[in-house]
Amino acid sequence: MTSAGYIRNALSLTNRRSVMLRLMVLAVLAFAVVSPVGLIILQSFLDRPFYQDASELSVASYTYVLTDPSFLDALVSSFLLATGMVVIAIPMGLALAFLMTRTNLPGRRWLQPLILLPLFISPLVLGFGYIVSIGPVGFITLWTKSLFGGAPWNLYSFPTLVIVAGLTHVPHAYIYLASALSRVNPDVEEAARVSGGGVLHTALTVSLPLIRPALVFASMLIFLLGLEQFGLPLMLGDPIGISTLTTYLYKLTNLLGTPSYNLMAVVATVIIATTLPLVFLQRWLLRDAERFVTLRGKGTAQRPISLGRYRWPALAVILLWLSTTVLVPLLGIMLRSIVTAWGEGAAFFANVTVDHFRQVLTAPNLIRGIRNTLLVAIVGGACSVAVYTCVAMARHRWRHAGAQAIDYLVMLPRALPGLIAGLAFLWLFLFIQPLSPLRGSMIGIWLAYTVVWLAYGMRIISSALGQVAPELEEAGRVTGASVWRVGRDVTLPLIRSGLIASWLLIFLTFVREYSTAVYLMTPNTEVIGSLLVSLWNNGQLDLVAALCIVNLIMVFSGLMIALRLGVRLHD
Amino acid sequence: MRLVFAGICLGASVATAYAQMPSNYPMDYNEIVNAAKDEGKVVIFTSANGPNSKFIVQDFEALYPGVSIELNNLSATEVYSRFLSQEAASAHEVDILWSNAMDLQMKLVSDGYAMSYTSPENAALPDWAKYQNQAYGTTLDPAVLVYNKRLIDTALLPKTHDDLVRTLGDNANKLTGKLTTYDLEASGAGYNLAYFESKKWPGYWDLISAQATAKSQYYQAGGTMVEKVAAGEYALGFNLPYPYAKLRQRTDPNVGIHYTSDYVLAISRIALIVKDGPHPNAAKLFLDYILSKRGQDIMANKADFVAIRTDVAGESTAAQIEKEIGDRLAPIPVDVSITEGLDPIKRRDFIARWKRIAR
Amino acid sequence: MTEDHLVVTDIHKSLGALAVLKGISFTLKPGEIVSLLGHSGSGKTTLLRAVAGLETPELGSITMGGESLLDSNTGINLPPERRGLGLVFQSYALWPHRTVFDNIAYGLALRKTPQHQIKARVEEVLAKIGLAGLGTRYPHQISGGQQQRVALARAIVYRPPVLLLDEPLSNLDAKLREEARIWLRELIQQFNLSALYVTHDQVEAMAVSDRILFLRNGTIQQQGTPEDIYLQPTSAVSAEFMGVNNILSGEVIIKDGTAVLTGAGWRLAGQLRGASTDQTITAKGFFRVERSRLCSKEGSNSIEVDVLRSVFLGERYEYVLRLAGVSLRAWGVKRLDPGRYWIDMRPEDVWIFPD
Repeated sequence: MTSAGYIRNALSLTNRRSVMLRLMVLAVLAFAVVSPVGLIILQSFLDRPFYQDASELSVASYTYVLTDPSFLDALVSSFLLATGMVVIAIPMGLALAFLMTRTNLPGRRWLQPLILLPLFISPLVLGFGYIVSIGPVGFITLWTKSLFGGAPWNLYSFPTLVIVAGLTHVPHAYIYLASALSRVNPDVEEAARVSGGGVLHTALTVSLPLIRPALVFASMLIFLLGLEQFGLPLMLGDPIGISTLTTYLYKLTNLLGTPSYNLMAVVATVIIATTLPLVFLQRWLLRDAERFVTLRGKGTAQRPISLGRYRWPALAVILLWLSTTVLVPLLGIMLRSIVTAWGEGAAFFANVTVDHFRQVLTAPNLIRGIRNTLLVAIVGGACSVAVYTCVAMARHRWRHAGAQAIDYLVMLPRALPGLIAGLAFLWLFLFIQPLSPLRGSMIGIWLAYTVVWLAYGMRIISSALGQVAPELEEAGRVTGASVWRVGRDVTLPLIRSGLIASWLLIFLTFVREYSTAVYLMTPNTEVIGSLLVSLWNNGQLDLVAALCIVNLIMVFSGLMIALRLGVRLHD
Repeated sequence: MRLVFAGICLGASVATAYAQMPSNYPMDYNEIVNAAKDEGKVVIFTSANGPNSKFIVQDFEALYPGVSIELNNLSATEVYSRFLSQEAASAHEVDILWSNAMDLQMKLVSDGYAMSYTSPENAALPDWAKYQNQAYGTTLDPAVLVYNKRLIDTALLPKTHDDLVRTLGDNANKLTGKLTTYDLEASGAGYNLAYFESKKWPGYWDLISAQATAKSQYYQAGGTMVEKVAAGEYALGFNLPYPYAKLRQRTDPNVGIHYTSDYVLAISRIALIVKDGPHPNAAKLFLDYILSKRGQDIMANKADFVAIRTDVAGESTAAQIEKEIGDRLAPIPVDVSITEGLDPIKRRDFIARWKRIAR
Repeated sequence: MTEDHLVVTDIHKSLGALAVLKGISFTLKPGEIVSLLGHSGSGKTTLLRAVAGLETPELGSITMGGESLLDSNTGINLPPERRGLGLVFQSYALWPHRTVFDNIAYGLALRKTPQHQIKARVEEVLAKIGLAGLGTRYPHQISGGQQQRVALARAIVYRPPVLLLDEPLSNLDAKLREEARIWLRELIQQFNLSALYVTHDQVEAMAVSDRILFLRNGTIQQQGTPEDIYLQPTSAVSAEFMGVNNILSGEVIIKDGTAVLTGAGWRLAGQLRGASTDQTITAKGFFRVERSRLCSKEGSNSIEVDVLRSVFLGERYEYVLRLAGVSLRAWGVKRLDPGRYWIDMRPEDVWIFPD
C-alpha cells in the first residue's frame, strides 16, 4: 500500500467518530447525574410535590426549613459530628499510618488488612453491633455490670456517637495518610536525624509538613463523610432525640403526615450546597497533593524507625482500637444472631438457637434479598466497572472542554447522600416514560448504585489508567490504530488487572450499600441493606442479626479473594 | 358454549372455591373469581409487618390457586406517598392499600382514590369500621402497654391513663429512662394515635410532661420499641401495637401485654381498593378474603392481627379482648373526620407542642 | 518521486504562554535522513510529534507526497493513525502485554495484511535486526538493546514513507550507542526509508544523518550537511553548540577585507561571519580545540598563552591554558611542562561573530 493511497482514504473520520463517541458518553453521563440532582433542586423550589399540577414556584419550603429550630439543631449536630470525627480520626489515622509505614511495629503484615476492615463493613451493621454489645442491655454491658456492678459508658449520647463515628473512620484517614507517608523519601527524614533531630522531632518537623496536603485532604474527606452519616445517627442518636441532617431528612417523610417532598428536597439541597464546595475543594487539593508527591519522586525502600521498648505498647493500642471498632460490634451481632431473647435477666445458653438463620433462609423476601445483593454486587459490580471504564476511557487523554465537564459531573453525585439519590431515581423512573420499566427492577437499583458511587469508581479506574504510559498508546496511534482500537488493543489489556481489582472494590461497596435502595425497594428488588433498615424498623432484631451475619460473610469472602489476588485495598 | 368449556377447564378449582364460598355470597361471585384468576395477581401496599402478614398471603394463595399476592411492605407513610406518586405518573400498578395509618387512608378515600365496592362480608362488620363501601377496617389492634416481666413489678402497672401519669410522677426514680413510646415527629401512626387520644382524654398533655419528667425515650417504629422492651432496654412501652407485642411474646415469654381499665385505643388497618388498579377482581377477592371468617380466623390465630369480626374465635380477637378487659376498646373510627389531624397547621402546632413538652 | 517528500511549512505551536515552535519550515527528500538537533527545550521533540500527529500546531501545514496531513488554513488535521508514519519512541513504548512478534505485527494487522504475509514480513524484519527466533518472547524478557531494535522493527515493518525517531539511542550505554548509530543508518537505507531523527547528541546526528536541522528556541538556527554544520557555522550559537570550542571576546577591526580580533595584549586574524561591518565593534572569536595548535614559538597568527597543566585523557593530553583571565584548551600527544606557549591558528579556522 502506498502512503499516498493510505492517506487519500483518510478524511479525519475516525477522529470525528471518536469525538462523537466521547460526546455521547458525556451526554449519557450528564443525564444520569444531572437529572436526579436537578430534580431535587427543582423540587426544593416548589410548594408541593413536583408531580402535582397545582405545584407552584415558591421559596416557602426554604423559609420553613431554615427557620425550623429542629433543622438548625440538626445542622449544628451534623457539623459537630463531622468536626468531632475529624478531631478523632485524623490524629489516630496519622499515628496509625506512621506506625504502619515508618516503624518496626510488630505484625504489620497481618495488621494491614485488619486495619482496613471498618472501611468495608456497613455503618448500619456496626451501629447495630454496638447496640447489641454495648447498648444499655448489650451483651458486653451486662457482663461488665455483672462483674463490676456497673458499666461506665452510655451508648446513647452525643459524645459516644461522635467517638464511635470517629473510631470507625480512622481507616478512611489512614489510607490517605499512609500512602502519602510512604511516598516521602526517607532520605529527607534521615537528613534531619543525622543533623541531630529525635524520632518525634523529625516526624513533627519534617515528615508532617511534607504530607500536609494529604492531611488536609483526609480531614476534608472525614468531614464530608461526617456530614453524610446516616446509619449511626439513626441508630444511636435518634433514641435521645439527636438529629443530623440526614436523619432530620428521613424524619421529614412523616413530619407533616403527608410526605413533604418539597421540604425533603430543601434539606437535600442544603446538604448538596454544603458538600459540593467541599467536594470540589477536595478535588483541587488532591491535584495539588499529587503534584506535591510526584515532585518528591518514587517511593524508596523504607528503612523502618525502631520503636524500641514502645513496640509492644504501640501494638496493644492498635489492637485495643481494633477490638473497639470491629471485634465488639461483630461479637455482639454474632451472639445476638443465635439467641431468641437477650438483655437484662435473659439467660444466654437457655436461649441459643439457629432458628433465625433458618428463618432467613426460608423467608422468600430475605432469600431474594440475599440473591439480589449478590446479583447487584457481582454482576452489577462488573457492569458498573464497565460503565466507569467507558467514562474513564472517554475522559482519557481527551484534550477538550468535554473532559473537564466529565470531571465535574463525576464529582457531583459525591455530594448526594444515597437516601436522596434513591428517592430522586424513584421519581425519574416514575415520570420519565422511557425509564419506567426500570422501576421495580434490579437494573434501576443498579443504576442508582452506579451513579451514587460514580466518583469512587472513577477514582479507582482512573488510577489504573494513570499507570499506562501515554507513549504506549501513542505508539498504537502512530502504528495506525484509531483511538478506539488503541483503547481496545492497548489500554484495556494493560489495565486488565486493575479492572479486576476495581470489580472487587465495587463488589465490596455495593454489597454493603443500604441507603440508596431504601426508596427503590419493591417485592422483587430487596437488597440486604434496605431489608436491614426495614427489619430494624419492624423490630425484627432476630432477622437483622442473622442477615448482618450473612452480609458480613459476603464482605469477608470478597476481602479474602481480594487479598488472595493481591488487590491493593486502597491507593 | 365457551362458558361451559371454561367451566370444565377450571372445574376442579372452581368447585373448591364454591365449596368454601359462604351462602351470603352472590351467585355470580365465581365470575369475580374467574376474572381474578385471569388477572393472576393482586398488588398490595401494606404497612403490615412481614412476619405477621405472611400467614395471610399463604392462606389466600392456597384458597385461590392462580391468584398470587405481591405484597409490598412499606412504612405507613410510604404506602401513601408511593401510591400518590405512582398515580401522578399514571402508573396504575397497585390494587389494594392496606395500612394502619388510618388518617392517610381516609385522606385517599376523601380525595377519591378508592373504588366503591360492597363486599358480601359487609354485614359482618361493625358500622364504625366501614366508610361508604370504600374503606374497610379489617383489624382492631389495641394500642397496649408492653412490659418486660423481669424488670417491672406488676404492681407498678397503671390501672388507668391517669394512673400512668401518677405512676410516672411518683416512681420517677424507678421508671426514669425506662418508658418508651412513639416519636410523633417520626411516626405517622404514633401521631394519629396521639391526636385522637388528646381529643378523647383531657389528661393527655399531663402524660406528656410526666413522660418528660421520667426521661422517656421516643422511637419511630413500634416493632423496635417492642424489641427494646423485650431486651430490657426499657421496662415499659406505651401505646404499642398489639400484633408486634403478641408476636414477640411467642418467642420471649418475658414480654407482657397490659391493658388500662379506663379505655384502650384501638387502630384499625384500613383496606381500600384502588379505583383504577390493574387487577380489580383480584383486589375484590382479597378484600373479601381478609374480611371473611376464614381470613379473620387466620389473623386471629396465626398472624396476631386482632380480628374485627365477632364471629371468630381465638386469642387475638376483639371479642376475646373485650371479654378480658370489658367493653373498653376505643376504636378510632373509619371515617373521613379523622383526617382533621392531617391539616398542616394543626399538625405542626400539635407536634411543636408535643416536642416542647416531651423533650 | 522527484519532488520533496515531506514538506513542513511555518509550524507554530505553543504550550500555554510558552511558544515552543515559532514558524518552522523544512523539507525531507525521499531516502533522506534528517536530524533535528538541539538542546532540550529547543522544540525538536514537539516538532517530531507534530509531524506524527501527536501534537496539533496552531499554525502551519504539513504535506507528504503532495497530500495534506495538516493545514491550519483548511482545517485539515489527520489523526496519527491516518498519517501512515512510523515512530520510534525514546522509551521504546513496547506493549508489555504483547510478544515481540505481536508488537511488530500490529501495524501489519491494522493494514489488513493477510496472516501468512504478516508472518513472513515480521520474520524477515526480525532476521534483519538480528532477533530471529525471539518472536515469542515478551519485551521484559529481552535486553534493552534488543528492545530498542524491536521498537525500530515495529515502526518499519509496514514500510512507512517516513520514519520518525525520538532519541532512539539515548537509553543505551555509550558503547552500544556507537555501534547502533552505524547499524541504524544502514537499516534505514536498506529499507529505503526517509527518516526524521531527533537527538541532542551532535556526534549521533552527524553519524546518522544526511542533513541536520539545528534547532534553537523553536526556530531553525541552521541547516545543512553534517560538514556544513560543523565546519561552516553561520551563528555564534551554532558554532558554540557543535564541537569543543575556545572562545575569546574582543574588538574586531576590519582591514583590507580581513577581520582582526583584539583583546588585552593579543590579536588574532580570522573570518568575519554574520553581519559584516566596517566599524570597530565587539565580537566573539571561536576556534575548535582540535584546530588549536600549541607551539613553543610565535607564529604568523598566534596568541601567547600560559599552560597551567596537562591532563592525560588516554588517547591524548588536554592542556589547560590561560589568556588574560580566560580559560582555553588545546590537545596534544605529550605532556607539557607549565610555561609560556603560543597557539597558532589559520585565519580560516577562526570564526568571528559580532555580538
